Amino acid sequence: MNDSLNILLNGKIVVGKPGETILELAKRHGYHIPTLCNDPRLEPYSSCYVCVVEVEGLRGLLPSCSTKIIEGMKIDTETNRVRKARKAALDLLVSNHYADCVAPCKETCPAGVDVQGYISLIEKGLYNEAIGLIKEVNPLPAICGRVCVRPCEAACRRNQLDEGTGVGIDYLKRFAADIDLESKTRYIPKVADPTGKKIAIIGAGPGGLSCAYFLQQKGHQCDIYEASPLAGGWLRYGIPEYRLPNDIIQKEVDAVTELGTRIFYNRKLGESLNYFELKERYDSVILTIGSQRGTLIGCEGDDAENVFSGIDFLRNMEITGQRYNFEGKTVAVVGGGNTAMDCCRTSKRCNADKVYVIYRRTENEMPANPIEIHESKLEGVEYLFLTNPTRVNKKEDGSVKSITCLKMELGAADSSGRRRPIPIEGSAFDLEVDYILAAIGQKTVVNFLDNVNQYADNGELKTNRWGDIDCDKYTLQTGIPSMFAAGDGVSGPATIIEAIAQAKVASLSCHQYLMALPVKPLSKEFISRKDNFRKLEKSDFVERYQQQLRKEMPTLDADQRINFNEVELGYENEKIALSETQRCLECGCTEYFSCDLKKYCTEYDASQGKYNGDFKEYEVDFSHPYIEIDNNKCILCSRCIRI
Amino acid sequence: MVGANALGLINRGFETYVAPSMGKSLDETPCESCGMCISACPTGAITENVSFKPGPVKLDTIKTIDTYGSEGFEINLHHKAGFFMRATGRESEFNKDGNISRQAKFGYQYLNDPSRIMKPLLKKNNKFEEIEFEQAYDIIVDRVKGVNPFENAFFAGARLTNEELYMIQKLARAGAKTNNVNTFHYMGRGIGYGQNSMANVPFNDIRKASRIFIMGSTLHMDHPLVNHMIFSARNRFKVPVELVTSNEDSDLNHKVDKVHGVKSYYDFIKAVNYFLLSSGLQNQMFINDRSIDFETYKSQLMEEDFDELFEKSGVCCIDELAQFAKDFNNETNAILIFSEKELSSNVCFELFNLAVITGKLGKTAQGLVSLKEKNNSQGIIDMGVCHKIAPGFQPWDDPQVVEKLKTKWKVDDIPTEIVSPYKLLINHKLKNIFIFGEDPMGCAIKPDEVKGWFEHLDFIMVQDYFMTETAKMADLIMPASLPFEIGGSFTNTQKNIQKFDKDIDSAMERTSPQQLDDLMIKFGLKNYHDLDEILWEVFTLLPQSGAGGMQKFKLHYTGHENYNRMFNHGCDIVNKRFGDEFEQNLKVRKQ
Repeated sequence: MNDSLNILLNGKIVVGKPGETILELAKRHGYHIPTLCNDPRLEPYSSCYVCVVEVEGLRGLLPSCSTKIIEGMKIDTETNRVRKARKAALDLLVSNHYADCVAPCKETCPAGVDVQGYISLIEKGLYNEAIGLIKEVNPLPAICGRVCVRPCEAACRRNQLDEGTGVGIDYLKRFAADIDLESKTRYIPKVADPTGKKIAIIGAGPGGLSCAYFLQQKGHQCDIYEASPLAGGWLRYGIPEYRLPNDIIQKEVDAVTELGTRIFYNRKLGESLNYFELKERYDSVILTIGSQRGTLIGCEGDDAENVFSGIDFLRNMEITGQRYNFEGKTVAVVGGGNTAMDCCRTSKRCNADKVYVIYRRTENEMPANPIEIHESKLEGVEYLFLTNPTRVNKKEDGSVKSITCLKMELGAADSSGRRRPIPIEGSAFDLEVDYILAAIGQKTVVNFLDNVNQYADNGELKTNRWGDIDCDKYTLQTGIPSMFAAGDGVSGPATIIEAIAQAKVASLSCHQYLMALPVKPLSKEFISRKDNFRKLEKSDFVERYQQQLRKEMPTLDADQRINFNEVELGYENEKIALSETQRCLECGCTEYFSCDLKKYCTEYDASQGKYNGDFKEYEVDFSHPYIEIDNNKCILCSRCIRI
Repeated sequence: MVGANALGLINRGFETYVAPSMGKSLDETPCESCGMCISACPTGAITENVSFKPGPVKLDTIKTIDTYGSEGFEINLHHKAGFFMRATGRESEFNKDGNISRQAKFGYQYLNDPSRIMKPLLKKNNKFEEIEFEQAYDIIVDRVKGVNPFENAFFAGARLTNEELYMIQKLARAGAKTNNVNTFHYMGRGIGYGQNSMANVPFNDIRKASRIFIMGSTLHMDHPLVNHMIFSARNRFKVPVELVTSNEDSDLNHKVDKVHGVKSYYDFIKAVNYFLLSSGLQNQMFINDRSIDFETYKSQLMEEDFDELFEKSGVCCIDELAQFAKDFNNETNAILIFSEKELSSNVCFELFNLAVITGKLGKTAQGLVSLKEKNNSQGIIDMGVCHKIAPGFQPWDDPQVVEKLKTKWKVDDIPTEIVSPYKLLINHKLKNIFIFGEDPMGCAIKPDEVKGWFEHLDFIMVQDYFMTETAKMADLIMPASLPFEIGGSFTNTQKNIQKFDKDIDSAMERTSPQQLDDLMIKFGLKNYHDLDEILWEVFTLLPQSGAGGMQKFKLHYTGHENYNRMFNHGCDIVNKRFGDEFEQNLKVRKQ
């Protein structure tokens, strides 16, 4: 018998051993053929059909794991036909793979923070490591741990249980972040050797700080130019200290600058900073300018004295360091978002006699964080729902006398899905007020466009139809190839975590640009989702999991709040944090990093919705003390039975 | 392949799913909890049922060796900042398939135990207080020097590295000037285990067997991966498997092709040897070429009464005994696999004799596979942690060996008297004992007996990871390092020395080898600069075999059974903890 066989493998002549399968031959010669049901410890089984290859002269494709080579075989392992067949096999497997790769908290987080991962680390008291994990995508955990709008908690499946509250994700993050900041073994990322590239970042808000944090780690020198005298952007100038103390901001800013990033203050692009200078000195520019200008009410008389935009009100106090004195005064805050909450609660702290929030829909439609609404009521803020201001009435000296409002009722749903408020005829009434704070929106100010375009020689910076910076939606590259943008300046006023998420994208693109790589977003990873099969319901959770009430955040007593001391006090101790971690239902798969099915589905761009139809659902079997069986994830390769 | 058939496919077509066979729940099946199914699953359908939240998070990997068994299988321990969350097999020299034993797979939790001892603890008024290492050393030295040398004894466990074992026996012999060196693990069990590992069949050749014999009844639980190799050979390559067992109810009985029920392994094997020799079926050519003392052995055995041996063996009939003898003898690639846990050292002697008689030693895929209870049981023997043995498995009563040691250790005299430390201990002749890495109190089959020995002592020092039952009785406790905190080597049951690196820094001020080094200096001995120096020293002590000379196999006649296993779990708290936990979990399930 011959002890070697001549085979043409992917166009190359190779020597095969008699009795060898195509899979073994290919592996020996460095060609990776995907397979799920094959296990080198076992006899071939050929149930998954992912390992198919093309053999010349044969019409069908052959499973390489069970096909033995013969003399003169001509095998192709990577043709389009093969790839298509593999994708089809994978599509079919995942069409009955009723399972979640990742938990909804991570999926919902704009920055994709691995919540389940850091909760696991907090459970073990590994706080530095938890912060390290968070900082892979979010450099501001102590800040976000206080003021994030926490879409993760809304998505948390523990909400489905009778206790009705998601895991205190943000509380846990804050707990770990505060410990980390004070710890001797504080997490500090590794910084790569200098690349010699320099990046100018415009604005030291959450977007700018994040870009600097990510890119400095890559070895690029990041310089931030900030228009204000201190760093933080709206974190410092928009969010009042009782929610986010300045020293916390400073610590996280320091955690960015300690990597080597420099911040130059009081430098505003287009005014005290010329783009010509940046272009000469830097390889790339990232615009993280935010949305700086507050919108006024937009009704007759809104030019009256003592009518401010809410953010100007907040910023002025931070910049001057002086609080307004509203003693004996009545303040009306117009709007229902988080800025409105900051304004009304701050007004209370400025000793206002009465504070009204005027909102044209009902509490249910308010975009503000429910905790904020709750706290503001505790502090004595009054609400006028279904009310819309139509006119500001002035006194003779030009200051506010009163505000005329109309009562509203809710009509049909509008494009945002919320019911549209409709004025009720003849319902107008006057409300006597001393100050009006408009918290109804912000605009991006791009007054440096001309300055930039004057010196840009390989493209043009533009704004889009909303007045925000125009850039590629996937890479955040602007019309000038060396210029990128992120944050509110691109999206219009949004959240901190969205700014951070965009910063990650812009940083990757910028890095690619600097390293002369093609600028493109990260390739899409395959994610299996139970939601692709059916919507999960209460009955999927109740009784399957034990009820455990949320450890609520301890706060200052309501009568202790006429000051700017932080209201939320943080979890008292590790035991409480540990107890809260135990509420996590661990919705994401433990094999996220090691699953072969996921790996190949990503590689072959498989799709879970390709073969719609029946699917099987099983209870997970936890009865064995060491082994857990989740048949929902089984692909019937039978390896477990055969071994 | 495991042979337990715990999992099966239920239903057919679209309704098919994997489940415990016969539609039961996994705890009602013969599942052996080997964990092989987890390693086989390409998705997350079969996973480890862990008691903590696994994340998942990206983990760091430590490359190490399974310390639960003697096979020397390479494994990876996965951890985040010292919190261990997973153990996996690593494809490597001795672990070609990258498998992992049940014990190593599920028994890593002790590494996360916060009660680990990190500083020396001195007992004062029945309470332990932390003291400095220097203080602890002074106490040890004072105690050793305060009594006659032969009133001290040193015991070292099979979990320790070769380097530690060597240092401990040297510390005793050259430092404390006593030859009372031993291990509870093998104590009072005779010397028949010494030659077990000579010329064994490599694990990877088990699949090449033409017939496999297992002797014992708990091999599948004690050595799950060797069990897997056996039944993978049976299922993939149709190798028949026969079992010689004294347990009628062993789960193994249902997995093999043939069961030989016996009452006494010892008498059974002696009867087989008798039968072969009296029928002239021995492989005389092999015996002439490769063995010594055959005639002595034969004549002594022939003086015994075959009928009595046969009677005591408990095998059903002469025909079956004869059939077994002939099958083992005639089958070219017969392999006999056994574990020291189940067999006395004299059975081991007789099995070795059987292998010589049938000419099945040192050949491919035939002969013996002996399994020990702990990762470095072999190291105990090879490093000379026994009053009768010098490093390199050389006899202590050989003056040449002693001379060599004196020169190497730069000392004028070494104690040469050979007295069993076991006898000294049970006869209350000892005053101080120093126990490294063993838990005789916790692992004793008869704890009261051990307690009785210890109560007569003046001073007990214990070095261990945890507050063991033995440690509780100690006057001084020294902290111990984990293998991957120090690096070093183990010798597996096939006599392969396996080196491994130090992977993480110990939070302990002085590691175990450093403590031994410090003590060496206190006793006026030269210390070591690194661990490699120690292994090199051992090599230089080995007997110089003649060029090209083939190793001769010595036959030993044994007069009687000597089963005297006094400690479970290899006398190691770690093995005991997992063993107890496993048993407890199974019991709960079975209820």
